[in-house]
Amino acid sequence: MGRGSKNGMRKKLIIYPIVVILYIIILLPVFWILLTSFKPTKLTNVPEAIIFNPTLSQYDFVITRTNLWSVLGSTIFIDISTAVLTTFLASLAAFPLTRYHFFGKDSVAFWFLSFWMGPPVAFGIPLFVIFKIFGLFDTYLALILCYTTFNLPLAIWIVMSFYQEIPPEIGEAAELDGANPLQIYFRIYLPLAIPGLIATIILVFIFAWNEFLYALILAGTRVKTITLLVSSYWTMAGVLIGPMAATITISIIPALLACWFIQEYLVRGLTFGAISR
Amino acid sequence: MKEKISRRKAISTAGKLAIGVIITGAVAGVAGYYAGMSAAPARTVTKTVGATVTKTVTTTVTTTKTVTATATPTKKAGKIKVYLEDVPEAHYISKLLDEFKDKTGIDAVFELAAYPVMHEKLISNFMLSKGAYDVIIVDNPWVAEFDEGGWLEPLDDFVEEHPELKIDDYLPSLLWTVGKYWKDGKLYMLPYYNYAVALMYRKDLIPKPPETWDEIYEIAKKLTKPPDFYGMAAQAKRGYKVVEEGLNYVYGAGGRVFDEKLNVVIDSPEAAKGLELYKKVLKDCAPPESIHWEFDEAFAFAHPGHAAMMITYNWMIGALNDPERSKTAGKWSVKALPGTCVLGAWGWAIPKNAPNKDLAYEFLAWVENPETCKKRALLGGAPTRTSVFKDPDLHAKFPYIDEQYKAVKNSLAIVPPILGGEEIVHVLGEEFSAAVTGLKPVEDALKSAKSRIEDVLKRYGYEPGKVHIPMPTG
Amino acid sequence: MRHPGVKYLLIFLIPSSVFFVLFGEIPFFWAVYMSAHHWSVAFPRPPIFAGVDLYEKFMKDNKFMYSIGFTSLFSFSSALLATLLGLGFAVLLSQRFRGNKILKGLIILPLLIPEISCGLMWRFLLHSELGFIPFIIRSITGLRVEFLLGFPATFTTLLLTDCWRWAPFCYLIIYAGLQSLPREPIEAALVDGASDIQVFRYIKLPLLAPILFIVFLLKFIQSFKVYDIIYAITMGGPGYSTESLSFTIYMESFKFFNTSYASAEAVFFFYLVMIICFIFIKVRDKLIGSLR
Repeated sequence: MGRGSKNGMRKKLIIYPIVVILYIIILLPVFWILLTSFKPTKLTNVPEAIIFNPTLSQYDFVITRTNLWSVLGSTIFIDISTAVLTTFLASLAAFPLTRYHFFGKDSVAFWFLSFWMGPPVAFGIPLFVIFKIFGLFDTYLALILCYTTFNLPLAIWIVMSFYQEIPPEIGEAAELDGANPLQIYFRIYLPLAIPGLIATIILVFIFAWNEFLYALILAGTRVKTITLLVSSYWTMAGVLIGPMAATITISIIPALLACWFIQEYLVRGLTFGAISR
Repeated sequence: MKEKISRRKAISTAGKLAIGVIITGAVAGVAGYYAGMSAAPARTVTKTVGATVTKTVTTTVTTTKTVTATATPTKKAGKIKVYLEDVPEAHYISKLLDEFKDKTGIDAVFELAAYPVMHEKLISNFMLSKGAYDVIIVDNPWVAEFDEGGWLEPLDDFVEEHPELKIDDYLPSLLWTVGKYWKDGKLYMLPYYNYAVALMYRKDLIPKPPETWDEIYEIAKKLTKPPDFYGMAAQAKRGYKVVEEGLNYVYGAGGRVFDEKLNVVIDSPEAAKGLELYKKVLKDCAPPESIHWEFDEAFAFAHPGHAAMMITYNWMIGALNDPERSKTAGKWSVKALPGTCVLGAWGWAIPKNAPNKDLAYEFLAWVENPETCKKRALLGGAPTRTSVFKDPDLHAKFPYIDEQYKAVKNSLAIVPPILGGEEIVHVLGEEFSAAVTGLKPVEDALKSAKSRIEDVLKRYGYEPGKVHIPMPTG
Repeated sequence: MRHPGVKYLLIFLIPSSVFFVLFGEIPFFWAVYMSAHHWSVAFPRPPIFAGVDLYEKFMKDNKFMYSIGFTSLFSFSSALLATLLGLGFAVLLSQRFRGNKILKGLIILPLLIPEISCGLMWRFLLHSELGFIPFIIRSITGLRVEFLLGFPATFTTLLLTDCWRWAPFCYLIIYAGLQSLPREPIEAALVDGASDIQVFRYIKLPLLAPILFIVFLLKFIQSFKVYDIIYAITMGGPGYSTESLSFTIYMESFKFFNTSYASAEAVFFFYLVMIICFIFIKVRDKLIGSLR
C-alpha cells in the first residue's frame, strides 16, 4: 500500500508502537489470569509475585475436586445444540428476507430483531414461571430453547449478510429453469453459504458460551454452565481467584480454537448487509 | 437488514403489535391465571394435606430411628448431597467426612456454592418434586421464607430422639436467628456456624484495644496517614457488606432496625448518630476506595500493613494471622465490638423434597453432635455451642476464643426471621451506601429506609406494632 | 426479486417464528399481563388487578428514572468508544506488518471470557493493593493509584471494562466491512495522487459509514442490557449511582421478588429500546441522505 519507502518507513514508526500498546491492553488481563492460575493460593492476591514457583495446584483442585468436566460437558452440549439449531433456523429464515420482497417484510425483520433487543430480564422472569409450570425448569432443553430464541435474531442477520454475497443471478437462473424456492435454497444457497454457516455456528456457540443471566435464572441446580461455575467462586469470605483463574483458562480453550477457525470466514462476509452490492 | 423503515411500515408494525397484544393478551391472561392458581395449590396442598401425611410418616420413621439411635448405628450405605456455601467451615467438615463414612457408611457429597447464587438456587430446588439435595444450609434472611413456604422438614421430633444434640447448648442469639423462638416455636434448622463480626486490630500498633465506638474513631484517626496507612480498612460496598459493617455502628449507638413489636425504628436519633459515626470513619480513617470494597479488597489492604483495624467475621482472625496468607501474621488480635454486634448465621435444614431423608437425618445427627462440633472448632471452625466456646482445649489453641464468645453472645442478626428478610437487607444496603457516601443526608436515608421496609412488611402481611418477636435472652 | 408464494414463505419463516412466539412473545405478553396485576412468584396468591398502578409507581421512582439515565449515558459512551476503538483496530490490522496474523487471532480473546468473569477480573486488576495494574504503575512511577474513587472514575472503569470486552466485536464487523469495500474508487484516488490519509477520510470513511452506524447501534443495544459488570464491580453502588436498568429489574424480580413491579419495568425497558432503535434508524437515514 505504501508508495515509496519513505512512506512505508514513517508508517512503520507509527504502527509498531501502537501495535505494542494494543497487544498489552488486550492481553494484559488475560496474561494476568493465566499467571494467577499457576500461583499457589497464598500468592494469588499478591501482584508482586511475577516470578515464583509455578504450581498446578489450582488446576488440580479444579479438575479433581470440582465438577469441572461435567459442567464443561454440559455447557458444550448445550452450546453446540444451540448453535446448530440456531444456524439451521436462521438459514431458513434469512433466505426469504434476503432474496424476496413480500408484504410485511420489514415488519417481520424488525419483529425478529426485537427479541435480541429486549433485555434478558424482561423475558427471563416469565420464562422462569412458564418453564416451572411445564416441568422444564432447570433442564437442558430449557436452556437450549431459550438460547436459541435469543441468539436467533443475530444469527439471522449474520446469515443474511452471507447470503447477500451470493450473486442473485444464480438464483434467478434456477428460477427460470423452474426451480421452486425450496430447491433454490437447498441446492444453491445452502451449499454456497456453508463457510458462512460454519462461521455462524461458531459465533452462536461463543455467545451461548458466555451467557450468564438466563442460565442463572433458568437453571443452576442440575444443569450448570461454565459461567455459573466461574461465578460460584465468588464467596462471602472473598473471591477464590485461584480456582477461578484456572477455570477461566480452561474454558477459554474451546472457544479460542473455534475462533481461530472462523477468522477468515468472518472477514469475508460479516458486513450485516450494510454494504450494498 | 432493511435500509429504511418507512413511516407506513412503522405504523403498520405498531398496529400489528397492538392487535397482537390484545389477542394474545387474552390467551396469556388465561394462562397466567392458571399459573397463579397452580402455584398456589401446590403450596397449600403441601401445608394442609401434607401436614397430616408427614405426621404419620414421621412417626413411623421415629420408631425405626429410636432403634438405630440406641444401638450402634447400623451402616446404611448410601450417598447424600449436601449443598453448602464455599467457606472455610465447609472445608473443615469435609476433612472429617471420612469419620462419618466409617461410622455410618454414608457418602456425603458436598456441593460448594457461591453466596450470590444460593438463594435463587435453593428456591428453584424446592420447586422440583424430587429435590437434588438432601441437606442444605439456610442463611438467616431466608429462614422465614423457607419456613412459610413449607419447604423444610420440621426437626423437633428428630431433636427429641437425639438428646445428645443438647439444643440448650447453642447460644440463644443463634437459635433466635435460625428461627427457634419464632412463630409456632417449631425448629426447622440447627445452627451451622456463626458469622458474628468483631474488630480485628494490630496489637503492635494499638496496645490497648478500644472499648467504645468513639475510641475506635479516635484511634483510627490518629493512626491515619494517607496515602500509605489508614486506621480502618472498611468494606462499604453496597449490599450486604455495608450493612454488615455499618449496622454495628448503629447497634453500638443504641439504634435498632426493629423493636420487639416489629416497629421499624431505623430512623431513630440513635441510629442516625451511629451511622454518622460510620460516615466519619469512612471519610477520615479509611481509604476513599473502600466504598467499593468487599472482603478481598479490605483484606488485601490490611495484611500488608496498610491498615490498623478491620471489622469482619470473627473467625477471620485466623486468616489475618496465617503466615501463608498474611504479611503481618501474628500481629493481629480480635476484640468484640462495643455494644451489640451484627450476627449472621446459617442453619442446617432438610428439604421436604430430599431424596434420601433418613440418611440426611444421620448426617445431621453426626455433624451437629457436640463432639463433632468440637473437632470442627479445633480445625478452625466457628463454634455455635457454649460448651465448645468454653472448652479448655480450644482455649489452648485459640487464645481469642473468649472475645469471639463475647461477640457471638452479644450479637443480633440484621433481620429477625421474617419474610422479606433479604429484601430488607438490600434496602438497608442501598440506603446505607447512599448515606455514608454523602449521596443523601443520613436522616433522609434512614427515613427512606424506614418507609421502604414498612412497605416490605406490609406486602408480606406483617403489621408493625402488632407482632411480637421474643428477643433472645442471654 | 419477486414474491415467493405464501406457501414457501411460511415454510421458511414458520420454524423461527415458532420459537419466537413460544419463548419470546408469550413470555412477553405474560410480562405485560403480570405488569397489570399484583403478583409475586414467591407467593401462592392469585393475581390482583392493578391496572396501570405499577407503571405509575415506577414513573415516580427516582431510582428507576436515574437508572434509565445512567444506562443511556453508559450505553452511548460505551458504543461510541467501542466503535472508535473497533475502527482503529480495523485500520491498524489492515496494514501489513509482522505479527499481524497473530494479533488478529488474539484480539478476540476478550470476547471469549464471560462478562461476569470480566467484571470480577477487572475489579481485581484495578485494586490499589492487589491489582496488577496499579502494581505496575507503582513499580514504574512509585505512585499509588486508586481507580474507583468517585463517580467519574467508577463510571470510567465500568466503561473501560465494557469496551475492553466488546471492542473486538466491533472490530470484527468493521474489519469485514473494510475488506469488502469496492476497489475502484480507492485505486482511482491513489492513482490520482491522494495520500493514504486522504483516501481514508474522503473515500473509505463515507463508504464505511453504514457499517459504523450499525456497529454503533448493535453495541448500544448490547450495553443497554448490561448487568454482569455492574453486579461484579459496584453492585449498583454507592447508593444507586451505578445501577443499570437490567440490574434494577433483576434486583426487583429476583432479590425482592416483586414480580409484577419488575415486569412493568421490564415491559417499559423493552419498548424503550424499540423507540431508541426507531429513532436511531431515522437519524441514520437522515445522515446518510445528507452524506450523499
